[in-house]
Amino acid sequence: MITLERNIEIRAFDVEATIAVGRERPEFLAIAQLASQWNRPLSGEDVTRELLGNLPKQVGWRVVDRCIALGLLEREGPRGPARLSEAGRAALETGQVLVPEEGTWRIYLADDPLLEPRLIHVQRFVSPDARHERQGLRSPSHSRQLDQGAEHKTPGPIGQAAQTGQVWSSYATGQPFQVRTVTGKGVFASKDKLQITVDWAPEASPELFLRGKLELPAGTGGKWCNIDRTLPPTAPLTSMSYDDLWKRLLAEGSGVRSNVIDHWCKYSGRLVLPVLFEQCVSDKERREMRREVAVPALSFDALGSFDASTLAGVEMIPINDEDAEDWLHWFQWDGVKDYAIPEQLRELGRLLRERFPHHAPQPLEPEDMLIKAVENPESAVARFLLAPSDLGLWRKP
Amino acid sequence: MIAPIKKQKLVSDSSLLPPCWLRRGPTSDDTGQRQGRLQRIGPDHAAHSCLVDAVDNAEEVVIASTFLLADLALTESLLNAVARGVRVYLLTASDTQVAKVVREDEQFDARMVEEHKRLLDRLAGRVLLRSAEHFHAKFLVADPGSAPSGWLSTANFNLALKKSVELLVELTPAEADCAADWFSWAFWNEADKELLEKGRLAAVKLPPTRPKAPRSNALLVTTTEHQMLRAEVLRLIREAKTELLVSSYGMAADHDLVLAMAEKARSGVPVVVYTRPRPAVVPAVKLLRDAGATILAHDKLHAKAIWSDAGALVMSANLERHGMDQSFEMGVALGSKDAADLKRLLLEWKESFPWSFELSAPIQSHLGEICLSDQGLRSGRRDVIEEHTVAAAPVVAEDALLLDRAPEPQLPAAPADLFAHRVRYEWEVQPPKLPRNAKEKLRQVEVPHSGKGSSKKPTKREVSFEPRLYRHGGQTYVMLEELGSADAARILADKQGGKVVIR
Repeated sequence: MITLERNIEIRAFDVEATIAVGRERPEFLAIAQLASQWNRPLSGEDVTRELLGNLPKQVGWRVVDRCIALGLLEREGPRGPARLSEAGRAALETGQVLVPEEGTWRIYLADDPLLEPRLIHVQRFVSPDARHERQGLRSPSHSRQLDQGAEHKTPGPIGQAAQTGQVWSSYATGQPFQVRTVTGKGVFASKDKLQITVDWAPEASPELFLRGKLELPAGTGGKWCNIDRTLPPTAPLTSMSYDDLWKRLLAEGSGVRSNVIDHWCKYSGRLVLPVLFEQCVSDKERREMRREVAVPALSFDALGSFDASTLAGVEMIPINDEDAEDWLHWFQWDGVKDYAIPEQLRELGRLLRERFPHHAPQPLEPEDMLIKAVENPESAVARFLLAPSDLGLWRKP
Repeated sequence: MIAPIKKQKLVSDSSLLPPCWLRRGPTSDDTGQRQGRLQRIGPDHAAHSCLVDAVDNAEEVVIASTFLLADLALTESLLNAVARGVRVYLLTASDTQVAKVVREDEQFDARMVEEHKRLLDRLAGRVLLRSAEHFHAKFLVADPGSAPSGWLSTANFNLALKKSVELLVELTPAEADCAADWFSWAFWNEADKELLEKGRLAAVKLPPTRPKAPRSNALLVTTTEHQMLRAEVLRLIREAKTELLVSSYGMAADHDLVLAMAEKARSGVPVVVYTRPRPAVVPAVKLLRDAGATILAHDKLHAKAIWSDAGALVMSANLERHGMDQSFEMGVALGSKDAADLKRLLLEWKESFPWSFELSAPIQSHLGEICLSDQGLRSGRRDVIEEHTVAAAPVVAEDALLLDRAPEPQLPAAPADLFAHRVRYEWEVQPPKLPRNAKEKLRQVEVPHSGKGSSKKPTKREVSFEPRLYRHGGQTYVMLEELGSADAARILADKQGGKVVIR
C-alpha cells in the first residue's frame, strides 16, 4: 500500500461575476423531465396542457423561455419549441437547476499536477443588495490592496471557465456551478492549504483525496468551509504503474539500488526488498520477513513533491544464498516453542525452507541445533531441545 | 503426748502394659559405615557427601528425584554444576503434597516446607524441575548415557541425609542408566507442573513423544502404570524360609504386603520388622506382633529395605498403598554379596534398635522407658519403675492408746499412666481427740468435816475422775493429759467402757 501526501495551496479570488449555482427548483426540473420523457421539443401548449392545468398558452411559452434562460432547454431559432439541453440533462441527474446569480463571488482555484486546473468552490458574498456587495469588495483589506494598486487581473482559469461554460462541482458542497460572466479584475484573498492524499493499494486504482478547510468571506455565515472529497485520479497518476511508484519509493527509502530491487522483483515475481540478514535487526521483522520502510520527502516530475512517508509491510528477501541460510537457521531456532524431537525439528526445517523459494538454504540438522543449545544454555529454546535429548526422547527405539 | 504413727503397705502390680514400645537400650545414631554398596547415615555425613560428590563430579547432566529438597549444600552443588554447564533435572513432590505431609508426619520439621520452597526458588530458571503429588522416589544420577553413576536413597534430600537412619545404595552404571530412564518416564509421563521461574509453575503439556518404558529390569519401580516393586517385595516375603527382615518407615495394616508378612510370621518363619515408633504404624505392628513377628524401632528410622532367603532390596517405598501401588518409587534389588551385607546390617540393627513393640507385656517384665503406642515419641513416653509410693488418706484410731489397731484406709488406685512393679501406700494413724462439746463426768466423794470432835456426817462433793472422764453422744471418753497417766487412763476407760482420747 502506498500512501503519499502533500499540502497544496488554494488561491481565493474575489470578483464580480454571474455564476449559476445548482438550486433545487422542482418546477423547472418538471419541464426538463417532460422534455426528457417526450424526447422532442416542447411548446408552450405542451407545458400548459401537461403541467399548468390548461392555463393560457402564453404562460406556457413564458415558462419555456425561462427554462431556456436557465439553460435547461434550447431552441434552434429565435422562437418556437425547445428541446432538452445538455445542461438540462445534467440538472436531471443532479436534481439541481443552475440558477445564475449576479454578484460578488469568491472563487477558489487549485493549481496542482494531481488536479485538473480548476475551480474547486465558489462562495457568494452575502449582502442585502449589490451596493453592499460592492462595498464588501472594497472592504478594508481589499481596499488596501486596491489603494496599493493591487487589483489583479482575473486569473486565466476563471476567464476560461466563463468562456467554456463548463459546469463544475464544488469540492465543499457538491453543488454544481457554472461561471457565466466575470469581470476582468478582482482581488486575491487569503491563501488556504488543503491536503492532497494518494492512497494506492496493489492491484487497485489509485485513490485521490482532498481534505482541509477554506476560509470563507466575511459575512457568509461561517468562517470555514470543510473539504473532504474523493477525487478521480488524474492523468499523471493513471499513467504510472503501482509497481514503478513502489520501487521508486523503496529505492529512496531503503538505499538499495533500483537495479537490485528491479532484479529481485523480476526474479521473485513479487515486490520485494532484497536485504542482508544481518540488516534485519528486530525479531518481528525476521519472523514476518516484512518491514516498514521510511521514505524521505521526495519529488516526482509528473506527480510533484510529497512529504516523507512510510511503505508498510514491505516483503523482504535475502539478497543471497548465504543470507537465506542464516535466515532459515534463525527461523528454525525461533520456531522451537516447546519440547521437540528430531522428527519435529526436521519437519519444521522443511516447512521453513519453503519460505525461501528463490534460494537454496540447507536447514540445520537436529544434532546441529543440539550443539547450539549446549552452547547457549541460557536460551529458552535450549531447554526445549536439551531436555528431550537428555531425558530420552531423542533416543531411537 | 501421743503422736500419730506412720503405716504402709506394698502392693505388687501383676497387670499388663498397654500396647507400647519398650525401651531396649539407648537411642543412638547409626554408624555411617559403608558396607559394599550400602552406605549408612552417620556422624561423618558420608552419605550426604556421596550425593554432593556425585553432583560435583558430573560433567554433562545431573538428574535427581526426591520427595522434597531442603539441603543447602546439595543445592549449592547443583547450582555450581549448572554454572559449569551441566544440565540439571529435578523431580519433587508438589508443593501442596510436601506441605501436607510435613504437617502430618512427625519426621519433618515444619520449617522444611519453607526451606524446600526457598531452595526451589533459587533453582528456578537454572534447573528444569517438574513435580507431581505422587513423586516419592529418591535417587541421583550423574552423566547418564556417558559415564553413569549415582545413588538410590531412602532418605529425602534434607537433614535426613545426616541425621536419620537410612540407607543409600551406590548404583552400578547399568542401574544408573536405568534410573535415568525411569526418571525420564516420570518426567514426561507423570509430572503435573513445571517450574518456569521463581514462584511460577505451569501445567505440563503432553510430551512430543511418549517415552518407552525402560526394558532393563535393573531397577524396580512403582509408577501409575507399573507395580514391579510391589510384586518383587511380595515375592521376597512369600519365599522367605528361614528369616524375613523388613524395614519400613510406614506400614498399613490392610496392605497385602503387611498381610503377607503376618502370614509368614504365623507360619513360623522368624520375621523381624524395623520401623519408627509412630501411632501411624501401630495397627500394622499390632497385626504383625500378634502374628508373632518381632517388632523393633528406632526414633529416626526411615530406611526401607527387605531381606529374605529369596533376595534383598533397598527402596524408597513404604509398605502402604501410597508407595507400593500409587507413587513414583524406586528400589534396587541386591545381588548375593550386597544382600549379605544388608542382612548383616539389619541384624546389627536388631541388636541396637532401642525399642521393641509388645501388645501386652506384663509390667513385671520391663523396667525403664516405654512409649505408649497410640501417642508416639513426642507425648507417649513413660517410665516403668520398680516401686511407686502413693500417699493414702490418714486414719483416726479408735483409741489413743491403740493406734496399731487402727483399720487400713481405703487405698487409692494408682494413676493410669503410671507404671510400677509395685506400689507402696503410706498413711498416718492419728489418735482420736475429745469432741468439742463433750461434758465432763464427775464422781461424788464424801468429805469429812475438818473441825475437832465433829460428829457431823461427811459432806458429798463432785470431783473429776483422774484422768478426766467425759461424755458426748452416748460415748464415754477418757482424756489423756499426760503420758504418765496412760495406765490409769487405760484402766479407767476399760472400767467405764470408754475410749482414751487426747485434747
